[in-house]
Amino acid sequence: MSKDDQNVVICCNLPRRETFAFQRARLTEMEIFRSREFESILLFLLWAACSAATLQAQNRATPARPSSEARISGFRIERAGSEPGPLLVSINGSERRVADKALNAWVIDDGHRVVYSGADGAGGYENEGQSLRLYDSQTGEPRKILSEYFSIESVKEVEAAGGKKILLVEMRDSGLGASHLAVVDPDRGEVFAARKVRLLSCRGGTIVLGHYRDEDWEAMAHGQAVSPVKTDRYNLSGLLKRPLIVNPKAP
Amino acid sequence: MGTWKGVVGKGFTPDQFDQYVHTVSFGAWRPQFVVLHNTSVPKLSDWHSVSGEQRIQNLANFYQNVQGWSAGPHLFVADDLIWAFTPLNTSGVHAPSWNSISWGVEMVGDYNLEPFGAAVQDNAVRALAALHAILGLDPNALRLHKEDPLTTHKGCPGQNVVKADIIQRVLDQLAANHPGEHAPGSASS
Repeated sequence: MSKDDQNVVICCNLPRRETFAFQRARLTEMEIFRSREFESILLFLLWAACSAATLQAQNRATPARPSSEARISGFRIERAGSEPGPLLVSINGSERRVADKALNAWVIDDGHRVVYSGADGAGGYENEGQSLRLYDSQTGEPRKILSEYFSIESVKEVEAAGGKKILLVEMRDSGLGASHLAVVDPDRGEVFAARKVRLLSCRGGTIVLGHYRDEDWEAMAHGQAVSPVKTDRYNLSGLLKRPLIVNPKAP
Repeated sequence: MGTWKGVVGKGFTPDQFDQYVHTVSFGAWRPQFVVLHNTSVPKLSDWHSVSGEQRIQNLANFYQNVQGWSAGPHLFVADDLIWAFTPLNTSGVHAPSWNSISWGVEMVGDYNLEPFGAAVQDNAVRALAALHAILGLDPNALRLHKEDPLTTHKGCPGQNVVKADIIQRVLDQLAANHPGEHAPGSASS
C-alpha cells in the first residue's frame, strides 16, 4: 500500500455518529447543546481534514498510476545533438516525463506502452552499446528489457503464432557497419540475438535472416547488391521459449 | 563468421614503432589514408588498471568472439606505448565506409570528457608520422571517425581532438624526421 492509499484509508475510518448519540443520552440540555456544538465542530474539522487528504492523494496518484484507459498518442525527446535527452509522452491529452535520458522511442501495444533506447548498453565498440526500456502507461514503471553491444536503429512490433506480441530490434555497429537483430519478449526481455545479419522477412510468425561476409557490409553500404552467403529461418514462438540473454559489459 | 586475421599484440615506444613499420612487408593491400578514433571505453584514466598485454587480449577476444569480426583497428595509442593490433598489411575493422581503404588508429581515452594530454598526443603524432612516411601518404587526407557518413559515433575521436592541429603536428614531425625531403603528398598539390 502506498502512502497515498494510507491517507485515503485514514479518512474512511472516521468515528461514526452512533458513538456520539450514545454519549448524548446521559447529558443535560446545556451539555447536550455544548456536545452538539462540539460534535459539529469536530465533524467539520474531520471532514475538512479528510477532503484535504483525499485531494492530496488524488494529486499524487494521477501521474504515477494512470487509469486503465491511458493511451500514449505520441512522444518527444528533448535531445541536444547526439546526446540523450528527456522523453515526454502524450497520454490522454497531457504530457508526462517518463525518462531523463532517452535516444529514441517507439510506441507499442496499441498505445499502452512505449519502449525507448538509452546509452547505457553493454559496452561494445567504442562504447556504442545501447539499452532498451519499456514504459507501461498502466503501471507508470520503466523496466530494462535489453542491454546490447550495438546502437539500436529500429524496433518493430510483430505477432508470433497465437497473437503474442514481440519486438524485433534492429541494431548496427560503427566498426564493421553490420546489422544485428535481437528478439525481445516485452514481458520478459531479450530472448534471441543474431550478430551480423539482416532481417530479410517476417511473415506468418517466422523471420528469415541473411548472413554476409565481413567485406560485404562495406559494399552494401556503398549501394552494391549483395546476396547473403546463407539464410536462417526462425519460428518466433520457438524463440520466445528461450532463456533470457544478459550481456556482460565488454570489452 | 569471417576468418580472424590475428593481432600483433606488441607495445612499442615511438622510436621502436618507427623501426617496426619498416619491417612490415606490404603486398596487395595498401591503405589510402588513416582514420583517427578514440576508444571512449576504456578511458585513459582506466587503461592502466590492467596490463597493456591483457587489454590487447581482451580487445582481441571481444572483436573476434563477441562481435564476430575478422579484425579490429590497426593501432592502440596509449600514453606509454603504441600497441600494434591488426597487422598493418591487411585491412582492419574500425569505420564502416572505409575499412577496405584505410588504417584505423585508436587513441586510448574519451576525449569528449578527458583532456587530450601531451603523452597520448605525442605518441599519436609519432605513430601517424611513421605510418604516413612508410607508404608516402598525405597527412592532409587524414580523417576522423565522425566524418564517416555511416557511423553513429558523431563524437569520435572527441571534441578535445582538433584535426587541423594533428595534421600540422604530423607534417612537422615528418619534416623533422626527413629534413630536406618534400612532405609526403605534397607533390600532388
